[in-house]
Order: sequence, then C-alpha cells, then structure tokens
Amino acid sequence: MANQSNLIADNIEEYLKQHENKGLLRLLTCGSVDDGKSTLIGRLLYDSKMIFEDQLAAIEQDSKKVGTQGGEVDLALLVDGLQSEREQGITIDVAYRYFSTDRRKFIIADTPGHEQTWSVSQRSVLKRLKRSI
Amino acid sequence: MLNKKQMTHLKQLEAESIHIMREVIAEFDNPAMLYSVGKDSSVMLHLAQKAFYPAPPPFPLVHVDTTWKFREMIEFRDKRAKEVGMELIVHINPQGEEMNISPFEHGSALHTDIMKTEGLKQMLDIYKFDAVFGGARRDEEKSRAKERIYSFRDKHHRWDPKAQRPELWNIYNGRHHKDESIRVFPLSNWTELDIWQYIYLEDIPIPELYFAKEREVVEYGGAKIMVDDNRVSDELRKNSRMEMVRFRTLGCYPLTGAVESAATTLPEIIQEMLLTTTSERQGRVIDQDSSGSMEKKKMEGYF
Repeated sequence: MANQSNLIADNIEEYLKQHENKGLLRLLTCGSVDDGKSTLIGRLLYDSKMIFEDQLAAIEQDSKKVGTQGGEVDLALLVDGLQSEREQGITIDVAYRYFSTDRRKFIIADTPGHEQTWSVSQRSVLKRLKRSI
Repeated sequence: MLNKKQMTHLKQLEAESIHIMREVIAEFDNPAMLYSVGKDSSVMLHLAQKAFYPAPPPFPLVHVDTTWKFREMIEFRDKRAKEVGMELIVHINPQGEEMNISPFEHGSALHTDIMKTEGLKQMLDIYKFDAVFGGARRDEEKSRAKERIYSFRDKHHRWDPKAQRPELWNIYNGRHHKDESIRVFPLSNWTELDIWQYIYLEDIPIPELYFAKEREVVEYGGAKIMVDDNRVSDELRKNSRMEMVRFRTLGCYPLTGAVESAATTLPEIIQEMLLTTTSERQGRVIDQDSSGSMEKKKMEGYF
C-alpha cells in the first residue's frame, strides 16, 4: 500500500525498478495546541490511501470511545497512538509515519503542541538550540 | 529523480541502520541481537554483517523460543547462525515449559506473556545484556510509531512512554545506570515495502514460509493456521485442508494466520503486498486483544 499505480498489477518488475531510485524527505509538523497537526497528518495518510482496512476499522471503533470529532472518524487517532494521548485528545510525544510516492519516500514526524508535554530534558535541548540559532 | 550525488532512499536507510549499530557497539559493553527469524530480522542481520564486515558482527544472536514456532523457522535459525559465524543463544522459559503452556489451551495472551515476555526478561537477567537490537519498525503498530530508536528500559525492563528521551537527528543518548538497558531498533524508519525491496535487491535469504506452497491448514480463532506438528488436536485436524498459502509474518504457528496466495517469487510477494488492503499484523492474533495491547505489553517489558 505505498501508492497507487497500474504498474503494480501489470508489470511489477518494472515498478520495482522505478522505485529503486527514490529520494527520501523528512518533514515535521509545527503549530500550537489544537491547530490540527495530527488531524492533518491523519487526513494526508487517509487520502493517500495509506490506511489498511483493519487499521481504519480500529480507528472507527476508537473514535466512538475517545474521538474528538463527535462520533465522526477522528483521523488524529492514526498518529496519537499512546493510550493517554487518546484519552486526553492531545499529542504527548512525537509520532513517525511513512508514505511514499513515485519519486520520494516521506518520513513525517508529528509533534506535540503543548509546551507542558515536553519533558524537562527536551525543553533544555530546545533552549540550547534557540540560543545557538 | 535523483542526481548522482544523492543516495536512494534504500541507501539512506541502510546507512542510517549501520550507523546506529556501530554507535551501539562503541557505547555499550554487552550488546546482543534479538533474532526472531522473520524477514525484518533477516534484513537486520544482513545490515549487521555489512556494518562490521569482514569480521562477523561482534555480538551474539539471541532467540526466545516459545516451543511453538514453525519447525522451518528453527531449522532456518540454526542454519543462518552457522553461516554468518555468530554465536546463537536460545532461551526457553523453564517454568513455562514445565507447565506445558500452550496457546491452544491457555490462550494467546497468557502464552505470549509467559513464553515471550517473561522468557525474554529471564534471558536478559541471565546474560545481563545492556543493549539489545530488535527488528521492529515504526510503521507496524501505533505505539511503535511513538518509540525512539534507542528505547530506554528500567531495571525491570519496562518502557515508560511518558518519559522518553529526546532523540535529535542522529545523536543517540546511550547513558544508563547499572541494570538499566536499551532496546535498539535500527529498522525504525523502514516500511514493509522497503524491507521487501531491500531483500529483493540484496538477495537476502528468508524462510520458505513466506512463499506460497501447498500446506495443511485449519480454521482456528478466526484465522487459517498451519498444522505444523501433532500438537494440533485431532478434533481440529478433522477439518484440515491442503491449500496454497503463505505467511506475511512469522511467529508461533497457532497464532499466525496464513493467507491464500499464489506468490512464489519475491516480485509476486511484493505485488501482493502492494495490492492488499489489510496490514501485516492483521494475521497476528496477539495484537487484536485490545486497542492498547502492544503498548501495555511494551510497558511490561515486551519488545
């Protein structure tokens, strides 16, 4: 389930050859609390057909229990994988998700928005970073 | 597309994994590699060989045997260890063996807890490894997507998801006190497709169970399991059939669902994987116990 291409069914060896020469791009989300960072990433994965049926079924089930979208599928649950994140409806720690296109493999880091969720050590690293910039 | 100076995504992933392995060897006193015989372990072992070539990797392979693995896996394990010239340490939980723990009788949760999680913790206590490589990938499961490459464990082998250390770029923090340890996941950033593509390109040996073949299967616990030995009850075996099947993941045979397939070559397997609509862990009975089951198991000391 990487990306949709007719080549997969028609000529898999050609497809594999094409995909040997992909680049790699790492990106991360930045923003304030409840801006919709995780929901955006969830939506991206959903729209690019990166979600398997069994994963989506699990999300639908969980959305009823802990979702923040009033019964609708809460796509943020795709990245908020920890129990306490799902219960509180926030991202506590960074999550990594992956998808790829014909030209690139992408690594997405979905980050927390609450300053409080950053541990003391993480904050000190950030401070040092800010100072060095 | 790429220019000549850029590395392809697989080359970059390979370089990252090799860097991680070398970092661990430089920083830790007593590392080991958990070898589970599956495709991810096969890739991890191949990368370890590259990382320390021409010497064999400077650590032992360890395997927690639940006594319910496919027989082919055990044969493959012993053969590979010999070929790469690494020491192989196998541990079976002696209490579990004495109690004759069986996934058929005691259920998947208890079986996994005693034979895998407890067995693993016993082994780590006996050999005092301070860093253990595992082949887990972040795209496998939602709590794994949250885990660091150096996953810190306290002296009870527990993972605390709320107190993970920062991990910036390729800077890894290996500081630890006595009896604390880390699990290391050099394949964190690989996806299932990357793994298969790399196996294909590098011609890495994997167990035959991944390829479709006529095998004796029965319906059990909502999955199609293979009759691997005579511990499958006659009652169940009455309904067994020969079918063309293969496995997307390998584990304990009563807990690993087979998929109907005609794929007998690597490109065919990859083709099937790209066209399927369910995840590879769907065939694993243990992940479906409850929504946070993997996270819970990790907090108890599971990989």
